[in-house]
Amino acid sequence: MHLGNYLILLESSEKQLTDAFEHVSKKHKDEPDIEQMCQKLSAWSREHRGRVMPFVEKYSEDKSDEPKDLRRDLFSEKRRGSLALLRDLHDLWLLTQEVQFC
Amino acid sequence: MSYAKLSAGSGIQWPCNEKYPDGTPHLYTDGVFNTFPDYCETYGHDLVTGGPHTEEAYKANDPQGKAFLKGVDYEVPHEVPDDAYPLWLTTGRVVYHFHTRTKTGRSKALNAAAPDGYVQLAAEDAARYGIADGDMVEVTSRRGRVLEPARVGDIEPGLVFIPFHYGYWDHPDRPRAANELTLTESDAVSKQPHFKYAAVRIRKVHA
Repeated sequence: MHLGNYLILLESSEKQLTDAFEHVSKKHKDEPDIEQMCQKLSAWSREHRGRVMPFVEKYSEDKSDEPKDLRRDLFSEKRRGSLALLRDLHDLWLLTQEVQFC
Repeated sequence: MSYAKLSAGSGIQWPCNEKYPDGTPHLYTDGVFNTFPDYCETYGHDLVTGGPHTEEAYKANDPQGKAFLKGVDYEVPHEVPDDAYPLWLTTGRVVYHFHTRTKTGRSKALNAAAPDGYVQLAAEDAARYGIADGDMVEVTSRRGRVLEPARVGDIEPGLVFIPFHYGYWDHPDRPRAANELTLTESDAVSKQPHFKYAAVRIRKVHA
């Protein structure tokens, strides 16, 4: 059974997206519209994760070692300014696609 | 359409043509709106995120000349007064000036009528902070600060008002640009900026 694996994948991708929106919200709060919109979308992801959690708990016994933790090397701290915002929004988009696939 | 018609009353309402020689006071009296997918100018937006609706989604819910009425859940303001910033700030106009006064600030009469910015606050708040009419007041938000002379009265307690016309071009020495205090945000669809509310604190300064 891979259901447990997939639920965990969904749960962890929502968690990553929640944290990523938080991160971008804080990092780029001086840019127009970023802070509050990212906060809002972060809250949505947090809520989605909350809805998945009961199923994760129910089926997580089926968990195998695959897939491994999806650690991502996104949101480079070195980036600064408007171009950094563009690149960080790009990374956010990648994470939303991960959630979408799940 | 003629000059005689244009100047006869208080104007003519568009469209004015052969079909409607005296103009058109009411549009869409037949109840048919320009919402057909192949004619409409936009498929609309999600009111919360501002994301555009797709042609596909629009066609799936084709209004066929009817209009959409969209609802959206209430959202609390993105900033409300708290212990650190206990007052509401709102910004606005004075009748003598337009925007940043690049024109009106150069008119002697208008400039004399409204020469400087100010912070308007209620008598109750003025008393609480020990501020009298004309005292210099520092107004601070999470994003910036201004120094404005106090104008006491004609405003509700808990709220302060600063006109947004005044800035640096003719007065580089004193920070007084009200919109340095306001939120860096706008409505997701209309892009109307959230300039009308922010949380601030005030204190009297001896300038």
